[in-house]
Amino acid sequence: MMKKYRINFKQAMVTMLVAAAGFSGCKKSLDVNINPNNPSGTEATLLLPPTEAAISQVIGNSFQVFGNIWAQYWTQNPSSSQYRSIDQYAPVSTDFNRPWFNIYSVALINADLIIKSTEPNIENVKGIAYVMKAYSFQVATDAFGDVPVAQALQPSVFLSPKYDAQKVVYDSIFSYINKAVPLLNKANVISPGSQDLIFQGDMQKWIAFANTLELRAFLRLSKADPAGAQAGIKALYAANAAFLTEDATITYTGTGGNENPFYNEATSPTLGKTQNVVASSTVVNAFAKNNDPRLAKFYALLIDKVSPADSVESIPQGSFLTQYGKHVSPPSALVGGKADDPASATAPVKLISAAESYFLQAEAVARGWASGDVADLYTKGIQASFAATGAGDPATYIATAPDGLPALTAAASVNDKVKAIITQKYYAMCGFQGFEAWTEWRRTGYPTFFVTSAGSVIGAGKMPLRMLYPNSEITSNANYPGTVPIYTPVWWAGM
Amino acid sequence: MDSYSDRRELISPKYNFVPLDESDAGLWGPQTNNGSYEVDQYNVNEVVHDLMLTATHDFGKDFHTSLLLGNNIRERSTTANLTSTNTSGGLIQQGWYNLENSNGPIDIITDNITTQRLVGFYADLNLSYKDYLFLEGTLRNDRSSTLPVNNYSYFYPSVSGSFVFSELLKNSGIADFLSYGKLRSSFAQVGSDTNPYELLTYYGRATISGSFGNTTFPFGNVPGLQVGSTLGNATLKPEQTTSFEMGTELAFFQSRLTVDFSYYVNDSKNQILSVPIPNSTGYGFNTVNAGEIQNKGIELSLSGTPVKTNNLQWDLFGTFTKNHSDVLSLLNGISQLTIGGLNGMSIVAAKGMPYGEFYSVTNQTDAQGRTIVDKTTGQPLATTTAKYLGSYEPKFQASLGTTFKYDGFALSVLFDAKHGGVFYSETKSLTDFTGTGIETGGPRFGQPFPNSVYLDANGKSVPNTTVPYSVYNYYTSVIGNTPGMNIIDASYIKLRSAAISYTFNKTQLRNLPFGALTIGVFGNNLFLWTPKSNVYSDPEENASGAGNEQGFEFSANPSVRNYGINLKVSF
Repeated sequence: MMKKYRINFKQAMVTMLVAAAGFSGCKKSLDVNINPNNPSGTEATLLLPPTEAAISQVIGNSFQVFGNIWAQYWTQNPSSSQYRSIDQYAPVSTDFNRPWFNIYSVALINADLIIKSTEPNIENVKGIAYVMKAYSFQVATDAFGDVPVAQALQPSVFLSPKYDAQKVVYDSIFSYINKAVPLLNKANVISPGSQDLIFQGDMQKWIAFANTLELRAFLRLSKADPAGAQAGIKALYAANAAFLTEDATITYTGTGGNENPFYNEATSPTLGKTQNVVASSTVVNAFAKNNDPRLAKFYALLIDKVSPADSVESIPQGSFLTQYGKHVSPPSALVGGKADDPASATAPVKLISAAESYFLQAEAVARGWASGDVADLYTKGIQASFAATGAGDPATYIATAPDGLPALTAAASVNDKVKAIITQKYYAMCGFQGFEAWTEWRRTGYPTFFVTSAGSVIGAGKMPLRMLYPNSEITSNANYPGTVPIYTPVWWAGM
Repeated sequence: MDSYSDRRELISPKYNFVPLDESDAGLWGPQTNNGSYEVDQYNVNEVVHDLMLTATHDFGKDFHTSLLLGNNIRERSTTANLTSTNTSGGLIQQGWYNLENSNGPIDIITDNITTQRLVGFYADLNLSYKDYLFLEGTLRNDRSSTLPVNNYSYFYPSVSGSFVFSELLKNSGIADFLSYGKLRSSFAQVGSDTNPYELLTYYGRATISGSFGNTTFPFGNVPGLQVGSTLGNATLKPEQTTSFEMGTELAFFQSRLTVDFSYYVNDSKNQILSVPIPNSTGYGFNTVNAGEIQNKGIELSLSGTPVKTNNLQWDLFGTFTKNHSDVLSLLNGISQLTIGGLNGMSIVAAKGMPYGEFYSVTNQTDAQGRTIVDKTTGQPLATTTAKYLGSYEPKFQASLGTTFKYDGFALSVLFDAKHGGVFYSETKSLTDFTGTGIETGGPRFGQPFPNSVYLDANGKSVPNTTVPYSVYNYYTSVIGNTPGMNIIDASYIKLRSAAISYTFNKTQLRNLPFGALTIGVFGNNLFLWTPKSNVYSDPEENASGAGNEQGFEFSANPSVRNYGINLKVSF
């Protein structure tokens, strides 16, 4: 008995020593959970380019396709099928997962992290972040209607953000712009420089962008809240606001991964340079009626071996099922729409364009909410569009086209003046700003020559007036407000 | 020590083909692909150290004890390096597959190393009395590097016992009837840690993705970072599963009939999951402790030998299992967590429902189950919010098998069944979309949607016999919004295997050099019977293997039936 215990004691001692050694090294050796692959914090200026690139990816790619098809600039090519469901007015909720993610989980969250950053002297960068926040929320609400804003972007508090009424979202947009302007005006702080992909840190241009965005947002409320819009615009002009005189866009290049987003997607291995979009006769006929030289700039001419003139061939909106075999003109490389042309890689994504800026100002004057010369602003808008498309001297067009200056001069009522302005703005945004064109049509009902897509499956008389909430929200948000059909107008719509 | 290393290359050719027939040049343009080349390098290293001390002691000749003390240290480190040629630029020169041939900046897909360590101490005590009473207890403490520093240590005990009561009865008359009987019971807790680096939210190089392409950084010379879409959780707790089981094994009539029955309750607390959250929070996933999930059920197996003579034996055996899972509670007053999903169909853990309930939008139906359609287009209307559609969990599973042996012949057959539960069929979704599915057949024009109604001005159902719907539009666009229509009954009965063999006896092998020889034919997965509603696929096909997303059939290859001949020889 005794012998057994002695051996056990020796063994026990050895065990104790080993265990003690193990224990003391314990805490330190377990401290290996610091991630060597990714940082847990970063500088605010490094978050700025992805914010700008993300909202450009949405405006320049996903919403560009929806917008250009629903604004009847483009239609589905009969010999391919990628965007058929859009022309049929029957998108599915999963189609909107990616743009919603890019708006909220890339553009907005990174802008918000910049704003919340405690780094010193970055007021200019914060100002740009506020402008991007306002712009992105406007895109979201114009597309989807009611969207989360008060409870959004705060996962530690709100894991199921409630949706706010569109009016509340617009109030937030204005408050973000108001916060942005003093920050943009601050001098002697760090300039983002080349980290700002849009204006390279030029604060005057950002202030002009903020003012133009504010003007656009107030005019958007022209039907829903005319009194508020009028007051807001009056205040904007009273502060001597300067507006944009050049396009706000990222400069894309031919390098892989830095190209125009729509072209980048069209040339991806999945789509393999298939030409999925072609000219819609809705806009082509309108251009032709006005002898508009921009027609040949927005679309690629088909070389016609039969008659001597090269021409833009188009098909009626949504008629892909009955037009199989027809050769139709694709959009040009200028707007990034020609899949097999590498020049499409450098097409701009215009967050706001110069032409648009002039037409917004013209509309404000036409409504009597600002002072200025309507005809002059209208002409400047057309000239800016001609310059952007390289279509030559606009003088003849302005003077003689039925939808040119004659339309404005003949307009007696405010509505007719607005009709002329919005119609010209529509022509200027062809291919470049499909989402904004569709949005302005929803607000004003202009231009009046839209048709119902021949492929529509949602019933006669119904048009797409909003986008569907993404499937990711349906299945993960406990406060999901319920799906709204695409033919239900949003709050500010005049339809 | 365990080390694993793996290098993979993925190659896609660069090509540019022009149509031979130029007259259709406008329709069929050149077919081009920029090509790509990717190199993936994976390494996993595990070093495990085990130190164990055992001591045994007998008290008298009937009472045995043994004690085991142990220390276990485990370190696991992994590296992953995935690099490819530029995603949109592809290759510069055809046929040369090397990262130097990248047309544009090289795309670094992943550059990742992880390290995790676990230190554990445990003790195991075994007691036995004579040959029929056994008791075991264990206690373990683990400390993990992957949990928060102030909460990385967790204890878990277990105790189990068994009583072979037939030993006490072996000299009584009952032994002829009950040849073996055992009662057993156990209670065990197991704790678990998680993967490294889940406590904080991290930033990474920005990549802005469209549906098929992306904008990458650096953009020219401009660098960009974005916050990662998975939120970390600095208050993560260790997982803990508590299991209770009791059961019995019985053998009757000299083991001509045996019964094995057990009842169990398993409670999983604080399962560590990465769950999808609404993107309007600014993030895609949250790392959470999931709450409390309970699984309880029974397992029963019976086997018997009804006939046993000198040269004929007939065995019959069967099993029956029933498991029911229930989400008892979730953290922080949440009532539902999404745990996975694909293509618009998601799987959720909702309080009060089985774990893994399908949740998505589906066709609206009235109180009598008839589909509600739009009065003008005749197309079914989709629900405005997602609905619960059932779970993969079956009502029960059972198997039945039998073997006959006569002289050298042996015949065995095994059936297997599952009743209840549903699964998501991507095969149905694809065959619907392409128009090859059986329900897209039949007359395609002028038909109203089967068993449908529309609502009148007062909201009452009016049977729809007159408003036709476009079958083409329904299956190519409308149904895309209602993934709930792809949920199918997962019940089945399978003839899992059948085999016939003949074993030669010694006299037959007398003049041959073999010691033993058996030949036979066999077949596996021979027949599958599914309910009428499932004409699509085998309900056992599962896209994600053993994981949280059970019941997703995502168009994998159909299961196969196989037959063969086997020959067993010994010399």
